[in-house]
Amino acid sequence: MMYYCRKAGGLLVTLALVSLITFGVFQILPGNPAYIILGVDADPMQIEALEQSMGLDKPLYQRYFSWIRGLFAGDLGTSFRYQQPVSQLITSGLTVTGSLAVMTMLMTVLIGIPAGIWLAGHGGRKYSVGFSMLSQISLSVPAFCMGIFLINLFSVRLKWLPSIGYISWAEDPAGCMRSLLLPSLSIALGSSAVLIRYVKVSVTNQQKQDYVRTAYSKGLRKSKVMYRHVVRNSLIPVITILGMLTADILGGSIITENVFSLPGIGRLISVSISSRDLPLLQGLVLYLAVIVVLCNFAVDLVYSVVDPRIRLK
Amino acid sequence: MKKNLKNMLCIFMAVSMLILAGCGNSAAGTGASGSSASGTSAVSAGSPESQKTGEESTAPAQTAGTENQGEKVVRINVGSEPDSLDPWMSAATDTEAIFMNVFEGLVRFDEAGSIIPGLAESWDISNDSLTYTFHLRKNVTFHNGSPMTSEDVIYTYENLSGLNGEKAISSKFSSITNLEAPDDYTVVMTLSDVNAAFLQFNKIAVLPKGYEEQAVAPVGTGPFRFVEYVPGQKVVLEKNTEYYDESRMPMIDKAEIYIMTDESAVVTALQSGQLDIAGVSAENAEILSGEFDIYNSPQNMVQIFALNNSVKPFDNVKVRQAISYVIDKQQVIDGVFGGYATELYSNFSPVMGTYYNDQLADTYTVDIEKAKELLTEAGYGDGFSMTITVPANYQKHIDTAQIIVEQLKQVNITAEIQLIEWAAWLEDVYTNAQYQTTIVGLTGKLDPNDVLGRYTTTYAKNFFKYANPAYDGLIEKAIKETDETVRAEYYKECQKILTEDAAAVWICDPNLTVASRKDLKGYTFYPVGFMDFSKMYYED
Repeated sequence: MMYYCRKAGGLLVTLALVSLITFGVFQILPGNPAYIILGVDADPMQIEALEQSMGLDKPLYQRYFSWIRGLFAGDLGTSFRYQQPVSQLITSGLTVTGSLAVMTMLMTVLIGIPAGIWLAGHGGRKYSVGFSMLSQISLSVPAFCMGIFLINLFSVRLKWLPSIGYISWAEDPAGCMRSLLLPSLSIALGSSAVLIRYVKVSVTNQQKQDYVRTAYSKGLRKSKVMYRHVVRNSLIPVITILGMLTADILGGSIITENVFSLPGIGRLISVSISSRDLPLLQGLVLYLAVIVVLCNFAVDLVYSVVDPRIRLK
Repeated sequence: MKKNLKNMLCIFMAVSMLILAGCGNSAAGTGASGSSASGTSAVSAGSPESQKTGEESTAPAQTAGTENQGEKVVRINVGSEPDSLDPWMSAATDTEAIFMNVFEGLVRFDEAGSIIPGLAESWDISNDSLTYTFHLRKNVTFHNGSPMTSEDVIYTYENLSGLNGEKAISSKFSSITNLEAPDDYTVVMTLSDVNAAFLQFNKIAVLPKGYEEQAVAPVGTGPFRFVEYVPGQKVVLEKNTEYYDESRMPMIDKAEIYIMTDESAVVTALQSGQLDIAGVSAENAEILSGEFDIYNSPQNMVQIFALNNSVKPFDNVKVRQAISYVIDKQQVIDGVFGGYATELYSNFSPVMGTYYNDQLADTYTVDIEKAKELLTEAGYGDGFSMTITVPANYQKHIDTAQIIVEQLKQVNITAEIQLIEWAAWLEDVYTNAQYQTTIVGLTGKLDPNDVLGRYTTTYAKNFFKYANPAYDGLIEKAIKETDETVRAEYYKECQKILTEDAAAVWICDPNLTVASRKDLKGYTFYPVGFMDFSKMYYED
């Protein structure tokens, strides 16, 4: 219980600090949200009215405290740029980024773990060289590059899949899958390459352990040794990587979301900064901090399932 | 426990395989037949659950065909998010380009930019030019079903001018001193000052009295009604079947405007069939020209190399003239815009027709020797260093800056390009004039006063810091002149003064290039941004 309390306490302090810093930075940066929204042809009357409706005519500390007050009441405020509640914008961004993250993780795990195990089992053989070359390539090609390549192949030439946009799951499940296939693939190719290397190294190391020899000497079959003992013990570092990866994708891949015009968290982040949308950015910072803490926590939980010797402390 | 884990892993993998396999199937299947599903359900009248966010975005996943169940849809791109759905609170060109399909004012304008009747079928202007009497059309209804009468017009103008006791919505209408409605279809406005540009102001949207939801569910009288706006993704409009003017009755059923800022995403969306028509750059138009029809027209924009007239050395007219002699605009037009641009000689595009001064082309032809002479006279014979501040999100302006840097080297001027964020540009350069030189595009206006008035000392955003009392006086005289021929002469004179003073270097009016599906016809260019969907149609 203490563990959770400490985690939660740490989270609160982090959030308070980060929100203060964000407020501060936005004070220093040049740029007035009202000018940015209305552009060069704005009538002075319009600018004045908009500033007033956004509360920009009030002093900074007053705005900060009213934001904090709203936060405790569960109200993240209203976005300057979209003139909609921040919580609503983040929720809708999260459905996009969340779906993308689920698809990507699925692909990463499905490609990475079997391939890693297989490679460790067949180390040194001729396949292994080809496979590590492939993984080297997908590792060194950045996701956006892969994305552009995939768009060119599957959207422009073959016209199988859409190159832009997002369709929600509720609206059309098949369309949703189709719209997310290319973006998640472009991230998953790189991340599964990372995963393959981790799994391979980890499994290879475990295979050299004494208990493996003992298992064989007890007369267990190779597959049983592999899946009962080796793989299980090798998964710990792999889970750490997966946890970090999940937090990463849920944080929104600004570049991938841009390439595929996905209205996710990454897009919200870039918009909130470029349009000086302080309420939106504050909400996003809050969201990101929570996601990182939650992912770490989930990783801890999975540890204890995979290896009962590890206990939450 | 160990067994469980293995089982779990197996189940997990099996399930994931199924999901993946399923999505593979659907991917293959939808392209051929199922495209209607996404198309028809896309419109959910702005339910908050369906709203997704981001700066650019989406087109439906359908790759084949726009005509779902016989519905004719035009899918087009726009470069930025709407600033406000409430037309009175909106100032962005892109927003106006979309929403002029939804809203109408007392007057409208045609392709040449001339004022034509809108909601008012005619008007009388008194001899002293202070009283405007508008006669309204009698068969107009708002999209919410209520008829449009003088009551709505009075409501509109009371709000705009602040005559209702509240703060005025627009400074343009502050000269209205009295509003009257003698009957349901006549409105009389009285002005305090003569303003030759006033008639043109009345293109501003007339809104229904007492309707408060404009910012969420806008209601106008135009040929299209608003369906939904999904932040970061799209704006959807549909045909107004009750539209009063048969000649402008839409020929398409729906218009979907996708918010996309990335040019390459626009091109792939066109190529993969997710957009029907889109504005693209000249070089991309070339790539697309096989599969698409390319339309191309000057857009009444002024790409300007602005020199801050209030800082050294640009406060010296000879330095500004010298720079004008150095800059070879044709190089920019060819290098940056692929030849698709019109060279400019003052802050005025030839698109503006009768007001354009066509006598200025020879004022500064490229002449390096002359430039050096002028610089020596100004005391800068050895050249100087300067900074060109360019908004980082406009690649065309950055490319232009690079060419200019090279050209300036010929007279020993060392220019350095400084890229800044658009937000910072708006504040530092545009609002506070804290800069030496900058490159930017000024969007077109219908009235010459809105274009040339930028250089008067009374204009708040005169970021050129140009100050010339004679010029101010001429602009003042022109705005009070109701004889159009005389007024045009004044504006021609204004352009001449600007050019002679080299208030800035005006480079070109870059063409607006549009790539359109070959069976989609009727795209029309206007001197201001306007996607006129009422003219678009599909050829059978």
